[in-house]
Amino acid sequence: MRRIVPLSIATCLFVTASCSENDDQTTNGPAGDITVWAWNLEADYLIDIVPAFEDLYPDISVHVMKLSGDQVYQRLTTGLAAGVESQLPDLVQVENQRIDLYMDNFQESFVNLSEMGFDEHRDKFVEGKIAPLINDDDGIMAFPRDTGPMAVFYRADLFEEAGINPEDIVTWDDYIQAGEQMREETGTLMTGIQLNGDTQFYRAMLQQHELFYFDLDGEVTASTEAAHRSMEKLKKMNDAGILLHAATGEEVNAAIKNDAVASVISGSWQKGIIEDQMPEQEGLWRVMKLPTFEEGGLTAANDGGSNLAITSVSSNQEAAYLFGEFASVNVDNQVHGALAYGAYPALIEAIDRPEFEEGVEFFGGQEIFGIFGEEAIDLPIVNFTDDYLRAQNNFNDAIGRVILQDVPVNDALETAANRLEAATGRGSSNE
Amino acid sequence: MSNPALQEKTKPFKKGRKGPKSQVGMAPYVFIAPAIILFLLFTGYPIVYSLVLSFTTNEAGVNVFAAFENYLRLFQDSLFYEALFNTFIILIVQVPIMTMMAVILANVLHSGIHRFKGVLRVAFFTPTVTSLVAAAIIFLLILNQDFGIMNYMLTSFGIERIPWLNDPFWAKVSLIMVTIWRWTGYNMIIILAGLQVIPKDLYEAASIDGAGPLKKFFSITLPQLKPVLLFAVVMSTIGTFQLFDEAFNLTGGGPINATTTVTLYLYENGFEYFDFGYASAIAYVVVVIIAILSFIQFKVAGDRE
Repeated sequence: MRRIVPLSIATCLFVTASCSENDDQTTNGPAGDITVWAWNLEADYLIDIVPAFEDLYPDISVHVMKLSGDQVYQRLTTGLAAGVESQLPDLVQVENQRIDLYMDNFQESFVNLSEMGFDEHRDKFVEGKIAPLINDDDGIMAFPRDTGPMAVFYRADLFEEAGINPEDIVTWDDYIQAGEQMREETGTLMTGIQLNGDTQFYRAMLQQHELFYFDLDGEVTASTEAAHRSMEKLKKMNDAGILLHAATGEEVNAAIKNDAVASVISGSWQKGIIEDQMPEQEGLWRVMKLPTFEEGGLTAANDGGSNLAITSVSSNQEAAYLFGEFASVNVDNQVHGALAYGAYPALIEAIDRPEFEEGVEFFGGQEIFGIFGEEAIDLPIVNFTDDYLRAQNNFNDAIGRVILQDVPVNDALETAANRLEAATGRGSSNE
Repeated sequence: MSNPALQEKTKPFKKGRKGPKSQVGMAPYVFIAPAIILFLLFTGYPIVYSLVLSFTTNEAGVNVFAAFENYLRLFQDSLFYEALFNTFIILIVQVPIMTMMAVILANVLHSGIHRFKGVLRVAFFTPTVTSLVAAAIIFLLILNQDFGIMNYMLTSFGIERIPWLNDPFWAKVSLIMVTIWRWTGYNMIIILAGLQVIPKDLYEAASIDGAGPLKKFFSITLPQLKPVLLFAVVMSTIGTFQLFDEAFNLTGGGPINATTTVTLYLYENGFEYFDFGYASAIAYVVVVIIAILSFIQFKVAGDRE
């Protein structure tokens, strides 16, 4: 026994000595493995930047799991409910519209990045992107990644054939008029509307009124003037016979590929879809800003854009933080993500980069990123709330009623307002 | 029992039973224990827990007791009634058509065709075991309004294009078609099994009495099939109330909720809106409805037994 004591002291000394030696070596960062869940283009983007990150932090190894969007959310939901680390990633992709849903229902499940020092980067991002990521206590809950500034993607060849000058399209009424001309001259419809899915451009119309499904206080906007005006405009488009009725986004894409529609109103990521799925249409596409309600109105609106959140169960939060920071704040990475995948950056410094002033071959050499950039800076701040999906379903139902069943706009919106208020317990906005 | 081999085999077993009773008595329970434990863990516990959940509501990430609030809300929820209505429409249209088709197909396969019996049975049963996600993708392509093969065929016959998935009425029709496609083969196999146990001598006696094939079908086959048919109809009713994959993958419940089934509405509330308490309440209301419907069906069909 006596022998053991000095021996163990010696071992302790040896261990602590070697430990402090190790500490000296790794003061520039934590070590370990981290797992990231992401989907589609964002996953590809993250996979691309891992080698550069691992060069910077050789002791950290990053595993990006590329899943489908649905899979990420389903596994995240069950994983959070279980709260077990082995069932959850260290870092996970979450869209702006779902952030509140997860943050409110699984409080304490995500790391407050402000506590880890992310506040120093707060002003580097466009306001419309970062505002929804801030919680009630002024903490940033996720690393902001891309935004989806909305625009009209249109076919220059079809416009020319129909004798439409895109520069004449300023307001939604101009757009509708051009659509009628398009139908008469070429037999092609102006754009597609997803009746089983999501009508993104209705949301854009609300945003052009600086509103959303909810106002900034979280009250339902279905009975506001803006909601009515937007719905009337949608109805006018349909009555003019310029909308292709599609069931889902896939059907809209099929229509684009088959030359059945002349334009798409969508987020900047539509660039990637068109280039990917319609390579034979190279050179035929152009981009213009969203039409407005009256001349000089707001053209900017946001559709989509994701973020990366750190789960609280992660045992390697510091490594996850470093990677999240690298993926969201590094300017070169943002530029790469945008040029390669159309994921438009929310980082102001990246938006200003000269690479974005170059013309894009696929779009006939047009400087499309410049348009997205102008939109991104102006993005209105919107309140997604944790009832976003319920609101989306209810508003889309109202659109379906108006378009397919000729229900008066008033009645359709009233139903949506009543149902939303009953289900969410929220009040009604009367702006 | 004249077979000596059989007698020999059964003898030691009988002797064994006379021995220490407890050993043999426990054996069956030991053997079924894994199944029972798994059932309790993965089915029993969730059933009980969801009942508890149905009396709670989520407030700022914490489940709090809410008494009957979810149930009261449910009875005022017009979307729930729409989902219930959709489910009933599908039930009323689809189950009779499907059962009739299954009976006809089973009879044809049982008696009529002899050469390709096996192939046809497999062909009709395949949809039941096909992954619905894969099937739904095929149906989405078939039913596409502008580029689908269904409308292509219709237009070549001079019929106008049908907005299969973009119109509330036709979306319901599409959903019913897919459900029939999927489940007819399953019911056919059950009915086929029922046909095979009908004693042959009944038909022989009927033949001697001069009954034709139709007379035989209505006077012998159908009455003999009654328990099997009852089983098929009750199972189909329960199945319809649990209809989810078809609507989720094909139409997503739209347009305008025309194809939102009760189960799909439950899923949306639970796993999209994270309103687990409310979703659990829907589940329990569905259980009660299924119980009532099954009871009625047993009463109506079982009386004459």
